[in-house]
Amino acid sequence: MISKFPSVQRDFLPLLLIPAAALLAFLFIDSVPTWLTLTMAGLAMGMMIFIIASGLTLIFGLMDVLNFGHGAFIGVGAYLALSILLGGSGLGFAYAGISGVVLLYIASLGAALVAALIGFFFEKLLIRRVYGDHLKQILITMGGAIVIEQIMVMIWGPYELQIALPDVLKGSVSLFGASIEKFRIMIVIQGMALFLLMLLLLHSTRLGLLVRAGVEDSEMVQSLGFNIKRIFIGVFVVGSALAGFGGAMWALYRGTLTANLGGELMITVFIVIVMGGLGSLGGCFIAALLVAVVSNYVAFVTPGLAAASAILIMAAVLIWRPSGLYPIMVRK
Amino acid sequence: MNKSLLSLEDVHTHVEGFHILQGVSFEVPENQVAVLLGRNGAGKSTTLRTIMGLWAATAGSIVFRDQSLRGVSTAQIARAGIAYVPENMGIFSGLTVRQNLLLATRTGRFDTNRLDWLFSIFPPLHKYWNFPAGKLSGGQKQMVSIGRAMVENRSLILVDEPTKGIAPLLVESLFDAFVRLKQMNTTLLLVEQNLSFASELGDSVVVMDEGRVVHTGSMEAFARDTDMQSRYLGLSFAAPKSPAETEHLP
Repeated sequence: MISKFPSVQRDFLPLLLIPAAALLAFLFIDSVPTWLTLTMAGLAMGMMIFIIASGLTLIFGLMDVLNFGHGAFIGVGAYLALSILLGGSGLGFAYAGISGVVLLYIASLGAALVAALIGFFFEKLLIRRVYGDHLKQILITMGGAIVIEQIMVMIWGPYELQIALPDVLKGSVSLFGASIEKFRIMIVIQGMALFLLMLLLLHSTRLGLLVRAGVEDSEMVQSLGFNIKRIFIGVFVVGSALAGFGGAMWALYRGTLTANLGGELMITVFIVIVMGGLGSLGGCFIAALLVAVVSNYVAFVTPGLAAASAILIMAAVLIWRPSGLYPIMVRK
Repeated sequence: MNKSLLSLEDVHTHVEGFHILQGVSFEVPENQVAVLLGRNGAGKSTTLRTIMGLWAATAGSIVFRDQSLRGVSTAQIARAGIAYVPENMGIFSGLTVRQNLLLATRTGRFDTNRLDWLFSIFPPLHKYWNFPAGKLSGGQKQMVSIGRAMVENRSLILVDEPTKGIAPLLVESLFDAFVRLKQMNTTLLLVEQNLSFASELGDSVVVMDEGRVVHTGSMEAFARDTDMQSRYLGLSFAAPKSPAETEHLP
């Protein structure tokens, strides 16, 4: 019989930041429907940022690799989703009703799969050569991202393209007088499901435990007989797939896409992973939601501060917790 | 003399441009405890890291059971049957004690008899089984770290300063663990600064200084030779001199 004594004191403080921000915003925003709409939009945006950033934070935590090429996978995911949607429509699949939602998921998951494949070669061709050297990692991954972006321009052209949601996800539902877009609700549910799935995998499977252990001390994982590079490639490929999937969702959310779609998001993504604590999935989740909801509130209350809000929240969080919301104890 | 399980021959290691190991040669006999002694910076930890492949040897040979370990990955070295307990203990703080030990098993399953045996040596592992390892005390963390090396049978265990910063009561418990391993014919290569701990446990001794081996032999003979101890280590196993005696020393 294994005892559970003593109990563990868990750190819930960072978790309270989001409701605290929402409550504070409620004092400045007079109308419940407006507040609800802003909150839901912020949560949806936060979920997409989390999906994109989750892979990047694990990639950094596991192998200390700074991947500035992550943004390219966002763009690749968005364009591929568009092409699959157009291909599906061309083959006669209706982009309406439930079949429209099915087609949307086939397109997003197909985009994720191709992003994973590109990620695999990106790691093999570029990142493997620059392990342990941050400057070279920044240069080579930025270079790789530029090459991928230019290939996207060659294939899909330099102009902004439109991407539409299936009819069933267009429009909004009314809640306490607020009109909330259906697609946002879907994204929030989907983001929560993905987060819980990732937590489950990381906490209850041997591979998940290895990833968590590797983020803390990759040398020790090797000393226990595991090939850390193989684990890293796996995480890199999954991270690329998530960026592709998130990119597809982001393009559908915006309704338009360009080759630079990912690059525009990367500053926010980096803010989120630093704020969450490099390598921490839970920290990344809370930071993504916090940055997104606060940006939304600030943009409404004082539009002039909107662009700076993410940086200001990061500064405040890092003054409070210099290694991020949930720092990982790393001994490399 | 038992057959050698591990032998190092003229091993050189460079770390970030520094020539740390400068031709290290020694043998670790099978089923014995070999103790690596030396002053701080002598190259003891570097020797263990080089054997594990965490730092690559730039010259020389490292042979474990007739198999060369030079150029072999750390993971393969571990799978060949060598366990490593680093100086910083290498605990996965966010993982529970159970999860830390589980990752040390090859199959992902515990042998319950072996686990009971481990709990009998280190009762805190049982008590804190589902507790995050990062929240344990230094001594308890060391038990997790050594427990990982003991959870399954390994041919050779490399241990880097297990008693460093550990409370005396827990040191006894660690000593007991190593005695039990010794009884099970596990070969140990131990880096240790605690001389009484080292002399009671060790069969053979390897003394290092400035990246080279300066003495090898039986621990029994080394423990008796206070001259050699003060020459190589700057201290000895002998009881400290009284103030009256030390007054007259130059």
